[in-house]
Amino acid sequence: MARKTRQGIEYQLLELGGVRYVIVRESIFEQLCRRAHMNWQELTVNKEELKPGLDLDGPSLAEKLIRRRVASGLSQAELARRAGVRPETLNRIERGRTTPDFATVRKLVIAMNTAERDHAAQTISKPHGIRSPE
Amino acid sequence: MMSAKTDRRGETLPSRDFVLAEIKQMVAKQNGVALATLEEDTDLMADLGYDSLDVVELVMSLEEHFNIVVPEETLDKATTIGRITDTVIELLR
Repeated sequence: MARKTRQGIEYQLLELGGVRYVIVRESIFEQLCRRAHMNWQELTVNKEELKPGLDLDGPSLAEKLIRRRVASGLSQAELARRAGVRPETLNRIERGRTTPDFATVRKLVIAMNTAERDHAAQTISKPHGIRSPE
Repeated sequence: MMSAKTDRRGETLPSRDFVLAEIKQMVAKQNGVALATLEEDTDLMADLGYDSLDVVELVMSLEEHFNIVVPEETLDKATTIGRITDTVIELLR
């Protein structure tokens, strides 16, 4: 049943598994996000890419991948190149706009692990000497 | 004639119970859940909230641990602990 806030915004209440959800029109949600200074584009998940069981992992997976990539010291373009993934695809994944399949995630993880190992090996083989004050 | 318990190289294959226990242990360690709560029909994605990154990381640990290569197409089908165990057993043969 549709309800209305004092400001005239229509919404519906829904209870699923003991959790209450407020359903508002997408345009209203977009406005609310804008007012909260949240980037609406980064919150959206491409509907065509939604699969059962995967539909909630868009943004959090994106965040985790970004954190992993930054930790491995790779730029988005560099990771895309090393993993053999199109840069636009990686960009969409990192914005939570597409849910990558296992094969793509695996390529990204392997590329990040390799970069981390290379980085660690470099640090060991070429230690930066402690400079004495001049 | 090789017995059913050996692979092509004649090495003894681990039992299904052993592989299942190892996988449960790896999942418990990765996900921080109590080992006792994990069942064969526990679905990594639906029950434990795994995303594709978590699944891939587990699979890569399994590959290293059991010295196997898990083909990508099996990942889509096998996200319960029981099915992952069967996949590993199959690949160990």
